[in-house]
Amino acid sequence: MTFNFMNKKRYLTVVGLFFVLLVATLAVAPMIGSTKIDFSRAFSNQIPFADNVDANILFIVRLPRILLAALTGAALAVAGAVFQAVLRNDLAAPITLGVSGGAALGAVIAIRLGWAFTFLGFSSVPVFAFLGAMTALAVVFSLVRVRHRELPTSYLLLAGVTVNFFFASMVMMIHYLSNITQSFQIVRWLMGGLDITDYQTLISIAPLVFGGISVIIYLARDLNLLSAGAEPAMSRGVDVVKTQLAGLLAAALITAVVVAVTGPIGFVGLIVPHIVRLMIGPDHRLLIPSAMFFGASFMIFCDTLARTLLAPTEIPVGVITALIGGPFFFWLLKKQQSS
Amino acid sequence: MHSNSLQEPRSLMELKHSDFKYDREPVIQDFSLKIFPGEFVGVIGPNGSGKSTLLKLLGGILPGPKNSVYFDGLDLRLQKRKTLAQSIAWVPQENPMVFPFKASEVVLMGRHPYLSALAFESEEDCRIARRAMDLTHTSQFANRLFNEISSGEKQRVMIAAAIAQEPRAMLLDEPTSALDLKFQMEILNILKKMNRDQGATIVMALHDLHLASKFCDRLVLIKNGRLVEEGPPATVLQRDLLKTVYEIDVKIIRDETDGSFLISPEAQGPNS
Repeated sequence: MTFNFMNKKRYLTVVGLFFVLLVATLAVAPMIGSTKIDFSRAFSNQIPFADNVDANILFIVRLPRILLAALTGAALAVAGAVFQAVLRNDLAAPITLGVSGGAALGAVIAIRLGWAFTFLGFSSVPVFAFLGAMTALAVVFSLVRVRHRELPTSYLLLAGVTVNFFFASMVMMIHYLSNITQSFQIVRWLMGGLDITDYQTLISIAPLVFGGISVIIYLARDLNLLSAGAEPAMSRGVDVVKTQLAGLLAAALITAVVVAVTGPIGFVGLIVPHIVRLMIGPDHRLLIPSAMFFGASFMIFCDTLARTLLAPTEIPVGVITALIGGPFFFWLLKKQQSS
Repeated sequence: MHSNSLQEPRSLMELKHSDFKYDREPVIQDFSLKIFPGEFVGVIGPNGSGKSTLLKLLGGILPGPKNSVYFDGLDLRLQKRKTLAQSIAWVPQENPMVFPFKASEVVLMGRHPYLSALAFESEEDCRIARRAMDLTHTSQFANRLFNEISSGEKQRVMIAAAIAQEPRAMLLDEPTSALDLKFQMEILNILKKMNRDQGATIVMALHDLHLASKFCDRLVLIKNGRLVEEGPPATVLQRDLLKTVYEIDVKIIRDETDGSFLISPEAQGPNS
């Protein structure tokens, strides 16, 4: 009998492989783009930066965008894994819990009102999107009553989907009442995208994303037990309420932070955790870091396609995530069932 | 203090006038009970009488009122969850698992209370889990998915996880429900073995009164959240008591081979 268990060796092998995948993706993606760039010129210190077109494209256009893609993919994938574990449901994700809808409404309100301000390095749209996402979660969780620590999952998801529809209708109404410029801005934001980025944004969101993910990594084994039921987890010594709260807050924070900047990018938060689970099993100690690296790589991959497939026209990255992720997920699911 | 009273042994678990309400609905009312180390206790009573809640209170899964639930002489509310989990294991009636964990991974979860936050299971933890699986005859499906084994096998795996927890007391909620006779006996024999060889204290809720009388040293009969009677099977399994609690007439037949009792409901005529 082989007794499969987690140990350092397996951890380092699996997580290491996903890390290598991310490093490789990070290395290759900047070389690909609608404009061919000469790397020897880009890194040359003979040419002043302002005149160095290759360096400009690499460092100002491509790199921040790729890094934002990595942060977004990592955050959404990890958040999805946490929502699924805490709610003990395969369909739990930022979208089905209303987070995306809330962020969208917040962003659309900011665009319609035309308010311009900056807060902690964020402009008004992401600040409002963040507030919207948090409001949606607060509404969803206030609608349900927690009975003896067991979260009523189906009610939460039903409430989440309802909140999402409600907010979507309000978005549509505001959109309808907007002028053509605002309307274009709204559509652009709702499609989700990684194109409007600078280093300041990255510096603002990175600590929040990494902070949230660190908390979640610390909770990983508790999440294993929690996914097997609140009461059984409690009987094994898990502080259930603390784990649920810390996990949900951390996941909500990292989701809201990235969605506020990129707009709603569907599918990643729902499907990446499942894809990684099908590859390496459900243990959250492996799943969380692996989903983080895989989510980041997947997002960079999709964004690279989004900006090159129909170059110079860009496809919204959310379209690509669904078009690539969907069939890939079906393939894995089928393979899993036949084995 | 009476000088002629014998010094009573210290109880391992105790409820002192405990009450518990679900949504203002009283489920356990003014319940006092002592469980002593090494006992094998059966909790019996009709559906909805509060058996599961009683076990959850004893295990601290549900929070009882202050100064009413004790473990090892200390108020349960004042003890750390992780420390408590090293002493008390609870096996629920059903174990819905959402994600595809292997049976061995489920058993290893029993080691959780002994591990710090970022630690992995050690060789020693794996040895303990493997021994628990050997004891419960579950080793052969260690690598199968928990969700894909039969309900009897699941129940045994959950008991293996509880054993891996190395507790002093095990609380089991209907461990034999929905199992055929062979599996019922197998599970009860495992518990008897734990009780006899390792001195584990066992408290289980059970529907089958015959099996309860066969395996338990002491029975606790409850109805509507209140203690009706407790004591050795011969004291509790009385015709009039069972009539009050289950609201049916029964015949009680003593099996002389092992001293257990067969409870046979009396057939009622169409006009009764």
